[in-house]
Amino acid sequence: MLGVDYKLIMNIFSPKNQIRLLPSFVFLSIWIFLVFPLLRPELQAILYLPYISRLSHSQKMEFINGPLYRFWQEIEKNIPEDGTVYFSCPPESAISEKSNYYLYPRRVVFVDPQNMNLRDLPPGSFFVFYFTPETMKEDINGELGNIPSMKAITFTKYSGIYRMMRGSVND
Amino acid sequence: MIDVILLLMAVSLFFISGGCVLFFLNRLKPTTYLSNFGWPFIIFLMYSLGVGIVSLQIFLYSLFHIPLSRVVIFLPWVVIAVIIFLLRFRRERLAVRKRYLKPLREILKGVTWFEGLLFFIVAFQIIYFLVYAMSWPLVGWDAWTFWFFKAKAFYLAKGMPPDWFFLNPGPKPGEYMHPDYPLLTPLSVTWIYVCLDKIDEQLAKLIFVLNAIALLSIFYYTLKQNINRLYAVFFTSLLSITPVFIRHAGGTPIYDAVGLADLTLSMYMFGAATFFYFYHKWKDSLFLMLFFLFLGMGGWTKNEGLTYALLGCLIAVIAVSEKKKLFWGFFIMSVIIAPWQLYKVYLLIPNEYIGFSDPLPVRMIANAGRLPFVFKTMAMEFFNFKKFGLIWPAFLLTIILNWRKAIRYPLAPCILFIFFQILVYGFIYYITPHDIKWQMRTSVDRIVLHLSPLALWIAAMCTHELFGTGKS
Repeated sequence: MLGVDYKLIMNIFSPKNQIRLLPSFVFLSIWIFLVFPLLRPELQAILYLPYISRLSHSQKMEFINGPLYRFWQEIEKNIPEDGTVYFSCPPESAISEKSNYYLYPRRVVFVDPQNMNLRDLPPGSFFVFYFTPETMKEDINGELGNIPSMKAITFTKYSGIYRMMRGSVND
Repeated sequence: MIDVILLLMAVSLFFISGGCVLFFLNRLKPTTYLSNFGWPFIIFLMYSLGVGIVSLQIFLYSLFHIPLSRVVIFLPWVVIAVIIFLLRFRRERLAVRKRYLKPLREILKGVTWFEGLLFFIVAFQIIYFLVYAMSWPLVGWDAWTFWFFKAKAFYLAKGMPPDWFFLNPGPKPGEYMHPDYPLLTPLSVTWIYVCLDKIDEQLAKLIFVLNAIALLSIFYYTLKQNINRLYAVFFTSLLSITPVFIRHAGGTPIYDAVGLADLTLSMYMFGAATFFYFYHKWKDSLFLMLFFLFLGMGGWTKNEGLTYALLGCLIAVIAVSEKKKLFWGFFIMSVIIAPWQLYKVYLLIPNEYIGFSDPLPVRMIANAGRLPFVFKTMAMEFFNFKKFGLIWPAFLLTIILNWRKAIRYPLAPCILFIFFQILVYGFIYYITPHDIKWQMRTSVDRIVLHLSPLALWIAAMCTHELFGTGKS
């Protein structure tokens, strides 16, 4: 019942009423010409597909997010899900929004270390920072090293994860 | 492999639940005017209803502290589906098969090479959406910051997230998180996570591809009801290659918006207007109920859908004389929209446009200077050929040339929907407390997308009226 009739398929190529189709064909061509600058990315995507299909999920995530993805994994490994994270990063970037999403259910509070005293962080909370050589303005590791109750979990020159072990050193 | 099976199981619930709703709306009769449209239309109509219904079900479960699990979400629909099957479908299944499967056989009857090419374009685009969207992780900015973020929060909490999540959740509190946005999109993604029992954004993106296919399917089959097949597939193929549509349906390496709710809202706005058209054409109350359901789903998708729903109610009050049916329509719509709106009031989540420190008239006077900018930016976006092709010039030109029909029922309400919603968007830009340049730069193409399918549909109808032959 659902079989396709051979004659019906051949009818696709029949020349009848071809002239009637000409205006539609011209209109479609103009349309494609106009939208082509933004259709081109679709063609690029099709060319990328064989490459994409060979990547693992982690590789894709790293391709999109760069080294930030590895930093999130470090945070996931070192900070429990019910932890509160005080996060410092360049303000004019999407790092805060992306990190807020990927680190949930950890409660992420974005802070600017220049406008707060890091010694006042609540005990048990975590302080993390993530910058690039271009966006790093101060030696955060050095500053954190001066706070005895702040324990370094892992750090590099531009990023780090610290934990506030007790209350403020002034206590 | 197991993930794919669970994903298909999750998606199947959208079809099952939508099918149940459709059967109840149809008073359990499997064959009515709906069968004229063909089975692909009905299947995707079931899907678009199901996405809204299941997300509402998850929200109500969360409100009443029922833990989210596969069984408690799936089971009620299986029971209802079995009852429907036993009551009606089993007896009439032969008649249904005959009626619904007929269009499949007829699809190639008399197809010309040009129609074949156009069908190929649509099929190619659909395959592209599926393959590209499903092979790439989440990239859309709005998807990270709130749509998928809320989905993750509901999944991890197995219900309602803690209050702080809605009240002070983001890196820049209240500014980007949009806590007042409705939850259809996030909770439909939550259902996928519940079924998979893990968070997998890449697989969850299937919902957005299916939304695009549903929109294309409803677009094509509603056109085919009115005009001949060549015109229907011609305009459907134009919609499928519109760049902004592609970005939201499948994404591209340059700009990927898969995971945003705008195409979903497009689907509901478009569906509501066309169902109102068919209600006027056939006077079948099923289409009036579908109209109200789609209005409700639009309001449950994004806040822009709320103004559209209000507009729909006003148009319905003027145009529909059957007051009892109107009452039931309003009731159905309210059942969908009200729970989240009431919960927002309960949590004191502020509306980011209405909750101003200064009164509206003061703001309107203060912002008068931005009106030329708003008008110019919107006009430029409507006529941005690179993003929207010739949708809007074609819409304007064809309604001017066909103005006698355009100002009469059943087409006039569809045109009113477009013009009034554009006015609403203009007004929101006029009063917004945000930086207007930033806001328009980041959102104006999406608000044009909301109305573009309907504009193209009207252009198709008017073009056929002017030049076409066949059905009308």
